[in-house]
Amino acid sequence: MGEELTAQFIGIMRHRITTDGEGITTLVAFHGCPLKCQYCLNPQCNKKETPTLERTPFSLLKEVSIDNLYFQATGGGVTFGGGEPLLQSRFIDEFHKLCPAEWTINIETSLSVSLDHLKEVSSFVHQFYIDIKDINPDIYLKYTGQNNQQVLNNLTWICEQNLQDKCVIRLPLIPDYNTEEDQDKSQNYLQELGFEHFNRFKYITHINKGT
Amino acid sequence: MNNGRKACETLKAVRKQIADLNDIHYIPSNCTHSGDCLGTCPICEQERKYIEEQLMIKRKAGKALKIIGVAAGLSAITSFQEAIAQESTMMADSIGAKFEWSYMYWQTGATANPAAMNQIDEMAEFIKKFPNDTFLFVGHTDERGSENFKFKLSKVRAEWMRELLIERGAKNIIPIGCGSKEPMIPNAKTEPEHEQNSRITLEFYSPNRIKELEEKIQSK
Repeated sequence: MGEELTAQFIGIMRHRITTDGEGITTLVAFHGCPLKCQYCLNPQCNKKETPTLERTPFSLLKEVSIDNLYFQATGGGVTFGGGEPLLQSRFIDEFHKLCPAEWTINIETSLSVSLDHLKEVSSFVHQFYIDIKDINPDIYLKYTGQNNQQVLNNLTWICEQNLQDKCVIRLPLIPDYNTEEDQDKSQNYLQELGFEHFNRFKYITHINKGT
Repeated sequence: MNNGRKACETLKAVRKQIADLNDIHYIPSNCTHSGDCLGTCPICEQERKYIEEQLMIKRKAGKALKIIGVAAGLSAITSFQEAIAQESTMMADSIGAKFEWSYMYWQTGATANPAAMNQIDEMAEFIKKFPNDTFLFVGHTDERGSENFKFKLSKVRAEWMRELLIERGAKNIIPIGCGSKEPMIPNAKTEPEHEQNSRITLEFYSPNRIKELEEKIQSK
């Protein structure tokens, strides 16, 4: 099964020191995302012409294992991002079955995916970094081109499973789209659902303007 | 210090920690590269392979190895430091604490800044996530002044920071003054260089580190 399944990646970045998870991690970025965010940091993840790396779960394991010593010593491992990694939940599940138990697997996601994808990984993911953009549906639609009902459904499921502690919610201040007051509203809504870990920051707008 | 060099220093520290705990003779190479780097290089990779080979030899000889989580503190400190510092520097209180990448730097005569106190709040929240661990605040000074003065000043800084954290519920901290025994920039000549030496570091407690610091304090 691991030898047959492949996925396309836009990058594999070593030696991420706690920016994408605890300890020393390798960030593995998938190609493909359901959103079209105006200030996407990786707009190449949705362009067909972007050169990609194709890996099976096993070949990816071989490649990232070069840093096994650092992963084990620091409580690190592999963080999947992208793009939207949860679209490749099956690949991530197969990968996790192959890698050492001491590695942590983290996911950076928008949660704008069907619940089945989330369920496929939730039991073994150490930390979810969830960029919810904004809870307000109008702001979300304007910024991403999608509605956020699936995101809200997935957040509710996470609460029902008492997995809030695995989640760090990223609350961006998006220039021209939301305000600090909107950030407060998003945070208040999520705190009501039991989420406790938040990371508020401001989107960089001068690098990319989306696809 | 750019990000690549910071990563390199952290990886080097992790290798050293693993080597020390497993009785592996390892002296990290002095990097003579100038300018930015990727965080690793052929020499760094070679050192990693050397450590792995030594560990394999010990494993085959039936030795118990200490690897899992032994350096969690090193990268966790970096996480907190990057989380609070990002690209900005802030001033806090009348003594003056400037937060930059890995360390908090000190200047005199600064005025209070509410934003910096928010950063201290974040530091407290970070420490409270590890209620069963003990942290060290290690105060450092630049190389100017008598040894006694420098040790007293560095200890006062560490103790002052600890008080701020205790007020915020983060109590498991030991303050230690190291004087100028661990300069970031040895033989500093300029004010910016002195500033880089004048700092506080937050570390996870380890008996080896305490012993190391005590030896340095006693050697003044």
